[in-house]
Amino acid sequence: MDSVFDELYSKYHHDVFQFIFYMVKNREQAEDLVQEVYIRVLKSYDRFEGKSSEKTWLFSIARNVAIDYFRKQKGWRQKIAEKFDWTTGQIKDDSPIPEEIALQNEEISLIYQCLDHCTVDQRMVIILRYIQELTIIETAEALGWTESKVKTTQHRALKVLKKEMEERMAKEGTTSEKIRVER
Amino acid sequence: MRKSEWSDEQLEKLLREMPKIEDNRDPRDIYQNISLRLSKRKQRSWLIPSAATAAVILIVAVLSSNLLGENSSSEQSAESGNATEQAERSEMNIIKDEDAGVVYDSAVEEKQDIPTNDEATEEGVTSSITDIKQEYTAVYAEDVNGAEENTLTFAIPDEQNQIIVPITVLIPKEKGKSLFEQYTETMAKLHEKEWGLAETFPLKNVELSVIKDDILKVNVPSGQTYQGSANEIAFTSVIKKTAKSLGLTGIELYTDNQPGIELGNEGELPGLDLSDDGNYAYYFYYSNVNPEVPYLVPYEKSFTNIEAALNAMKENVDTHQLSASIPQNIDIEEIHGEKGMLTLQLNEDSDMTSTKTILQTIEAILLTAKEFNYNKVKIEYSKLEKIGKFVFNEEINVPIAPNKREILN
Repeated sequence: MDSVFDELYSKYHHDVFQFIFYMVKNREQAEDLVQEVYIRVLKSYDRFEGKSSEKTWLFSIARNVAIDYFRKQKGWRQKIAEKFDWTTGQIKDDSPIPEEIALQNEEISLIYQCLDHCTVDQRMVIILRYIQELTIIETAEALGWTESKVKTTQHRALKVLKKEMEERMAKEGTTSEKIRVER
Repeated sequence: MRKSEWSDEQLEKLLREMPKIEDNRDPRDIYQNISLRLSKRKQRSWLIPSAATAAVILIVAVLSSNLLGENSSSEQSAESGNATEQAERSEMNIIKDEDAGVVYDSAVEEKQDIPTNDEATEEGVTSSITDIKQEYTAVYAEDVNGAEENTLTFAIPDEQNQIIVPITVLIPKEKGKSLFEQYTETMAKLHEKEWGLAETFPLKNVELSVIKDDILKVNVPSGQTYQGSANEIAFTSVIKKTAKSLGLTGIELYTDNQPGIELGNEGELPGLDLSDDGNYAYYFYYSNVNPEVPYLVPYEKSFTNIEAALNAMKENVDTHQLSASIPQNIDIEEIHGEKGMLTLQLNEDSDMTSTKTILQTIEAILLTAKEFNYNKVKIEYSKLEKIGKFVFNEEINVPIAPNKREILN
């Protein structure tokens, strides 16, 4: 195997896979896209200048791959939407909740579902900041943003999540007491 | 209606608790998929350029046959008409075997630039064929009279000290002189500047000798400094390659006969490690002196397998002014190595005739195969019988050494 691949795999594979998985929420798709990340990385590895850390560089490529994926996705989804004259709101990702999530408590799977309501940008920030536990500075580097943009996007993302969580819990009348959290 | 309130902290905590999702695939499978897709992509990427080349060849064929038809015999115009037809019909495959016979058979002669324009127009049909550089850069077994000649390879940096070009010369054996003596004597006779490389040998202020049978002793006067990492790396690489080509097993460094040499980057070093990884891929390096025929240069990055090396040879190494040695329109579909023999299956659509440096491409493949300890290579391809002296579908012996140069004694 290629030594570059070997090294990148052992250091970052799970991080990158996890990032992409949470972005697209589909294991097969994520497996495909993570390969795309490697292809882009291996093609441009010589050009990696070490200006940023290898890790944030890798995430920045993963981010581009995810964005390209959504762009394509949007293309055909919108076409179908137009054809059948659905409202876009109805077309939702109905990929099943993965086992790992289903095994967790209700709140986790709820917040997992609510992530759908964030924009792509917001979701990226949430994943990088909380699931990958990158610092604000690292996140800014990976996304090519300023730190303040990371902060505001993060703030908005949390707001969206909060609103969604609250609405959903209110709707589900059967919601048990344990997921009611008072401030 | 129930209402629950969430604080940012609670949300953040929840998010941090999200489970880790892992990819359960074997990394080898992933790598396999990637390599597959990398090679597939390359197939696609040459479609447009090769279509464009085909169009150009077609136009040239049409134009040249028209010009020929005006002032030549009816036989010739019939021939050129044939050429047009052929060009139209077969796009890239203009060179059929009969033409190939004309062009490539004469290719066996070394260092002959053919076809020249005259010859080409005489043939009529071949007028549109790219002229292939009939120059073998490497030294092959048949070039050396083993009983009477020594093959000496010198490591010479390019003018920027970025890469090391191995240069091979053939020197008649002299009785009573050791290989080492002949080697050091030859150093003074190298024409680095003429060859477009950095003036290197004889190494200034460096005294070389062989001690303990197989150790290269390198002695420099005190006060000698190797400033700048490029110089330093060039110095150490030249020394290492010199020891290797002499078949020595170690290097000891001395300053004024005291152990150790002070090197800017490394500090004081008592010796140099000769165990490098090998398994390098050969690229093209065009010197200012000869922009037509490249040097074949092993780039200092080792590969774990020859597939990866051959793949990498399709891309330039821009940082080191090295050009791809395998054109994009040549596609190696299958690689199979066994007992010193490497078999490459070329895609039948690979275009072997539109690249001027196709012979050097084959040489680069052979030299890279040698890096991976193969001594024979078989290239499977059915559209041509041979190119120059390289016969397809038959075993080709790898060269003895790269980049042959003549020196006058």
